[in-house]
Amino acid sequence: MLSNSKETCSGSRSRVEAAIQRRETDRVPKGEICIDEAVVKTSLSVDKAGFDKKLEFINKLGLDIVCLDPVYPEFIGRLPDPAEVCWADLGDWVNTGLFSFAVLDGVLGWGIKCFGFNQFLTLPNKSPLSIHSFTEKVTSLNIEMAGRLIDAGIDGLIIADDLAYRRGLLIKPRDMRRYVFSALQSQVAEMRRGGVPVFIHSDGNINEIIPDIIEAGFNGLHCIDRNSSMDILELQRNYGDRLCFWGSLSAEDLIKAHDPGCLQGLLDTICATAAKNGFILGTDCGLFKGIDLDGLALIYERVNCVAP
Amino acid sequence: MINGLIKAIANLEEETTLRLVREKVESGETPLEIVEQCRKGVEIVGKRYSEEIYYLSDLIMSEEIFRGVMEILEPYFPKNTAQKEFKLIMGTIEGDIHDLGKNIVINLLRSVGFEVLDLGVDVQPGDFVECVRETGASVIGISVLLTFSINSVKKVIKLLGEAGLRDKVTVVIGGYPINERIREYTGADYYETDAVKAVELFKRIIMEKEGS
Repeated sequence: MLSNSKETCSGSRSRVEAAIQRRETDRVPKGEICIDEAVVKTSLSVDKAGFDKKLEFINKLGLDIVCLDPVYPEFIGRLPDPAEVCWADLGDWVNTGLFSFAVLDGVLGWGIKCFGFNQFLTLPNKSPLSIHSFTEKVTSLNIEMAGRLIDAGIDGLIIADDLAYRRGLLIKPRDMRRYVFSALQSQVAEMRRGGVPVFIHSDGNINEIIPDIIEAGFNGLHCIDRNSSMDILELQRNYGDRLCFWGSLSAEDLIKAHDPGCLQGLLDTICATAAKNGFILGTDCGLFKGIDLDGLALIYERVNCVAP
Repeated sequence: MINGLIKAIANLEEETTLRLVREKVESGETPLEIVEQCRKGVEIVGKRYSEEIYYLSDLIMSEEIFRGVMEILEPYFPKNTAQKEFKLIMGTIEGDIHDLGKNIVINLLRSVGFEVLDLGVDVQPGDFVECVRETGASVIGISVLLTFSINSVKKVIKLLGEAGLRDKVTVVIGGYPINERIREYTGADYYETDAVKAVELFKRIIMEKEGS
């Protein structure tokens, strides 16, 4: 199993690298930003989902990417010390042949966790100095953790921060630029100096800030939530020469994939997207308990036959 | 023409709003008159939000300002005229951890004076029922964004029936995958996919209940 997977994975890293650089790929690269352990256990009928089982699951789905979530110490109302954070089996994952991404949390996520939802979202109005000082702390934390990850051989980094919801941005674009993007810009610059590509993940409708994402230096964007008016074809048309797009499949798409007509429709869209390079296929939310894994497998299998 | 207080709230000017409220109290305006002006200001904020002029953070800011106003006015409210509290329970159904839509609706409802019990995310169906039993709330709002969690919503309705509470409680489901077919499948009474419209729906339900 593992020797086969090595063979499959030997092309994965370069396939993903090519997609990030918006070059042609031998087939559509695939990746999931998050794979819940329960999904692995159910799929493989096992009680524990350690490194080997996760790798087996990733290979079973034909993914090219592994995403590693940070493991934080128990939350005590403040940002963690970088030394307290780890990524499970990091040393093993960077040697698999898969393209390895590590996830780091962003300013909004940490802010909401540390201050509370209402308090943090009104902080730009109430206390600009507090939010400024907080974003600096998140920047230092992420830069230090990124350095450790790069030293350990990680291939790419994802800053995950839900900047928006279905309707639009959580905070005014002006505040988003002043506090969030100024912090992101310095983080991305430092990470890219380390030689790795950097993606941003955000749910919701972020159409308004795509130019800011590009200006901040990001290589790619993950999620592309169609239910939040994020149209991948339009995004590609407008920004495909500057960003790699990853995601776009919704949980509903996986259910619809059992209908041959709907599956064909999905494949047509994927083919049209993949034809322009700079595209990685995946769900917009990752794989959680209850998600239609059979539907996803159908899409992934058929994509290998029809695209690019 | 709108007065200075309405305008200050509508423009999210916290310091000006609180100063004007204090001045109005000192000049003898009744707390109810002042609250009514503030309510009009909050209404303008809601309208600007619906028209996509304001962002979510603006909506929350207006709630924060309104809370500050109520803190100033509280000692001046005669106890017997205090606004009747109406309890609603809201939560995101089990298996789903999305809370943004729920939080928006809760903030909007609280900003217009309703008491909302927020059960959080990933709420077990039985917990909704238990909470109804404990609090006597007669409206439940269930947020669901992941289609595979829809069966858990159906379970809430089933458990309410088994507990003999179904006739006493109105159930509203919300979230972007929800439609009439899903409402019918789950057995909920109403559905809404837009936060602002959801608030109007809750207000209407509550007015009808109070009327009855």
